[in-house]
Amino acid sequence: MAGPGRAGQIHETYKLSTAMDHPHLEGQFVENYELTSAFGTKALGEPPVCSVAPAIRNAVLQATGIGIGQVPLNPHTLFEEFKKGGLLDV
Amino acid sequence: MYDIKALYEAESVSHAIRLLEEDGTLRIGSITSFSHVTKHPLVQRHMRVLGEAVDKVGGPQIRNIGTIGGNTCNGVTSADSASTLFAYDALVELAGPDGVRTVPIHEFYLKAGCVDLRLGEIETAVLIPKASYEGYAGHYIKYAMRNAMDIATLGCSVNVKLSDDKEYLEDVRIAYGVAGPVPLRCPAAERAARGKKAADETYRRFAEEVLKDIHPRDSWRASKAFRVSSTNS
Repeated sequence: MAGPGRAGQIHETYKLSTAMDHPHLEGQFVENYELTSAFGTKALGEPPVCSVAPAIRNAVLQATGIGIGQVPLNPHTLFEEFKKGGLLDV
Repeated sequence: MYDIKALYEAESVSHAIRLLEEDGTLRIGSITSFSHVTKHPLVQRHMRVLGEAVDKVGGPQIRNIGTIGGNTCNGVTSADSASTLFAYDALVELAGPDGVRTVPIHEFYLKAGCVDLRLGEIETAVLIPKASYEGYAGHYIKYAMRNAMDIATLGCSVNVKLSDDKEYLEDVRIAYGVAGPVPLRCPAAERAARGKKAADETYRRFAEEVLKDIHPRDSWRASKAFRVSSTNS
């Protein structure tokens, strides 16, 4: 498994979600002028891709007190981490 | 040998679902596709849970092509139809050079990926005796990482027959997929619940006993401990 902060070799076993799995999602644009770019624009590709995993990881931390340093945050990983953290009694 | 093409074209291997006139056995031809099983009125009336279980296989295109015969003969523990057929004490009808024979599905599954299909034999139908389905209602849970196009991490099919006053569990049958090398029933749990009052205490006992009957393994899809925990919840 990958170390903290890296995606690692998950491509072989991680199944991407399909339309059947996807939760309701709404995109909202916050338009503000970006000083560091020539036309005041920002990239649209990276921010939505890169920020989701850490946001969810921190949401799990806030909800359970357990910070997890690897992705994907699938039930298998949560199961092991919650056991280690004493949240699950098995 | 026999003419396999003639056998295929004959009624014996068909995609027909019907009730046998003699004893009311539900006969599902081996080459019936999953989507036909799900939509068929006889399945919906007598064995709705089987229709629901096979509706979890892959995606719509697969369910239009994949058949219940293929699903059982494949011999894998994760087959979505298998645990429900185990839970209903289904029979498998096989035709071969030595004639036609019928075997209970739990004897048909020999080991992982291996079924009791002898040389030259083909499966012609899946049979569910009337005593097995009449008065029973069931439910199938497929636990997988995704809601479509995924293989079960754990599959569970359960059905009950209630007493006339609906106070007691006259009969309970539960079968698991992916809790062992082949689909399996939980005899200890079934014994613990049979004849008992339909109450939370019975269900708790039942859930405890189930853990004695299953023996899942570690695989890349899930760890053994994770599977046992999922079984429990």
